[in-house]
Amino acid sequence: MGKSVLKKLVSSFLIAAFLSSQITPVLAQTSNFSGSQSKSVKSKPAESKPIPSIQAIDGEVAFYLGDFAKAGSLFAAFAKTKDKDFALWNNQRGSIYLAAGDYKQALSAFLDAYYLMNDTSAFSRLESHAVSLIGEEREKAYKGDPYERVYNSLYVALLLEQEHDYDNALAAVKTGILCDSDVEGGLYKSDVTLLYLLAARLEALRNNPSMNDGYFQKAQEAYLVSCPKNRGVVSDEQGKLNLLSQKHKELEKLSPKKISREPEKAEVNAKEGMIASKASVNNFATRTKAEGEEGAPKKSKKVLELEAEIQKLETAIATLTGVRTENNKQISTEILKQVVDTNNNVLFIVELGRGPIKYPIGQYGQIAIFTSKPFTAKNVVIALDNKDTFDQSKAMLYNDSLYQASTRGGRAMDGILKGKAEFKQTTAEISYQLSQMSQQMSNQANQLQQQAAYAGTSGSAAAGASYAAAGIALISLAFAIGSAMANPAADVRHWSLLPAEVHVIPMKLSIGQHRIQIQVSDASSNLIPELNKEFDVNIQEGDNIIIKRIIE
Amino acid sequence: MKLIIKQIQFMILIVILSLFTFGCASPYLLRKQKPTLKLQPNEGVVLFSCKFLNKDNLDKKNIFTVTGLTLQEVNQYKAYGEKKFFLIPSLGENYIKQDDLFLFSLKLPRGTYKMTSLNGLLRSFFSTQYFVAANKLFDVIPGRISYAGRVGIGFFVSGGLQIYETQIDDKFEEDQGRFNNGYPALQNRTIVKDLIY
Repeated sequence: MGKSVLKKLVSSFLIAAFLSSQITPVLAQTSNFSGSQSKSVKSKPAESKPIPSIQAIDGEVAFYLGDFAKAGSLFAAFAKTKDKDFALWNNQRGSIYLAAGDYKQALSAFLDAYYLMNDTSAFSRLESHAVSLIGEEREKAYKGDPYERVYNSLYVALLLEQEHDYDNALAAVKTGILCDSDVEGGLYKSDVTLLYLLAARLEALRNNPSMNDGYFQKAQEAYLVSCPKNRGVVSDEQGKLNLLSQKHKELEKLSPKKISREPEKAEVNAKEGMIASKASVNNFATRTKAEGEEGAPKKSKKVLELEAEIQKLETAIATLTGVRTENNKQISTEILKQVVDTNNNVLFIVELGRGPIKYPIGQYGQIAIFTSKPFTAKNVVIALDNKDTFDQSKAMLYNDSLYQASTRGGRAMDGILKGKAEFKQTTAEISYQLSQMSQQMSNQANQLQQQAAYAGTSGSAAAGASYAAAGIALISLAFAIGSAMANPAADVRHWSLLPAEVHVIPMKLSIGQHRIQIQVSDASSNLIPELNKEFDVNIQEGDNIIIKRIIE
Repeated sequence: MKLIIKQIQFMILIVILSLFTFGCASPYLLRKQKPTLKLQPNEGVVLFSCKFLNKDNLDKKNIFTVTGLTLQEVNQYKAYGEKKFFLIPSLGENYIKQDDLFLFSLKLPRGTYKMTSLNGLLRSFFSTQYFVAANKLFDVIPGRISYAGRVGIGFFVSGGLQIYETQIDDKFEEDQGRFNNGYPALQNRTIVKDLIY
């Protein structure tokens, strides 16, 4: 009887296990990555609060498939919640409206984002929690990376310029320039040419020629630094400047306090993108030599090595600066004049590709990096009223968002996340070691207990070992909890609907209706007819901004 | 009692086998005998081909059969997601001997994924397992069958160790026909080139 019941029980259990194993794999096809979706669909009615983690991806997919209505309605629903991601939703919305040609809605969305992104006090309570050990970085309000703030300001400025509100457009440009200066690497500071060009153009429109010249000068400098011909050199130069700053710091630690002011100066130079002047280095050498003569302690081997390395770095930086200066002579800045020239009453902006994708790497996702999806549309030719054509030679290029995103340098938050990741790993390792120790001690306690039972003794040693094992297990548990609570994952929220490249074509058009055709081709000049566009524009008095997105 | 234990052992074996037979097939859809392709509204398909490169440096008989891969969803709107391992069974069926090419596919919910590593075998089923780091992203578009590229597995020797690495090539023109003609489920279906990046 007992055997039969047992047999039935075991059989039922195994059948249940078998059936559940059949159901699980069927679900596994979709539930591996979207388990939360099926739950939410069942539990929440359609009218309930939108769930960005699921629907925002649908919004992105819809945008890149050209379904702007769906994408717009999804992101508009998120923006209505006025949550900590309000600026992100509005930036995404702005891009959608812009691609759909609705400039008014785009400006409204970008402005909503603009106010929040540039408000340091907004959601400040969330920020303090995000930096805590158990807080997650993504808990703080989205205010964007410097490059995102730059693009937001740029769009606000362009759309205000389109409305002939030049004063406010200039204010937005100045905000963008300020955001662009918030960069670690000195050479990459203020390298968004388009912002300076817009500032120069707006100053010209406001009849302020003296300011116009200053901004144009800055635009030229930015253009030369960000020109592809110079990018490799600038990257190398900035890397060496950072290293030089590091070496100076090391030298400062090893040197007497009297000369400690020099390294500080070198650090400032590295940040400003300048080479420490030869004079200061010579000065340093002269002074130490003088001190040596006065009977000061002799330089250690380490100091001598550092000095030699610093000298090598300075020579290398000077060489790279020379290469950059030579390259600059071969780069034409003529197009910049055309963009600033107010006789060209139209700025035609063509946006290509997809902007940077920010994603986490590292054991706990503590490092955020950028990549971009390759796109085929590289060149555009604009035909005007089937007559005039504007090709690449008449366009201002090199405004690519990935370059801006990846040259912004490290953030203070990166150090915090690194610390959190180290804490998580160390506590997990300690917890594991302690749990092993506890297990061993527990086994030992069992053995002692058995021995005590055979010997007929009290077994107090076994009890002691048992208590110790339990104590260690508790400590191990505390470490494990600490490790589990630490959350070092980097915040990878980003404006994913940004374009990869922005081409600016200045034009002089008569007031009235015009027919415009955009012909798109790849890097080898092969036409891509499915991406071509044809439309009418109504040119009005004053400045005109036309923005067209090529989506593939 | 012994009989009961034997019966239990046998049933456990059946359960384990059934888990392997059905459970591992989840992301896999390229079967010669599978005539149709059913996708949920939020699902898409991604196709890959795979080839072992620099054979001359190893045994010429080497083929690299992908037995599994590690994927991680890249979704900025979600908390950091776990890496998940996908098994790809029916190895022999997907190796095209004359082209020395291995084909595999994934059916996934829409979104962006990071292929963190490929797990494969050199030569036969009982040969050494290799985990090859990839760290590349690809997109899954609902209802779309995308060709993500040819994963070339190569190796180099560094410090006496064989290091395996991947490279992605665009072989759309070559591979498209292989997928369309080789698998009934993909016949007359449009394959869109959307390379892994």
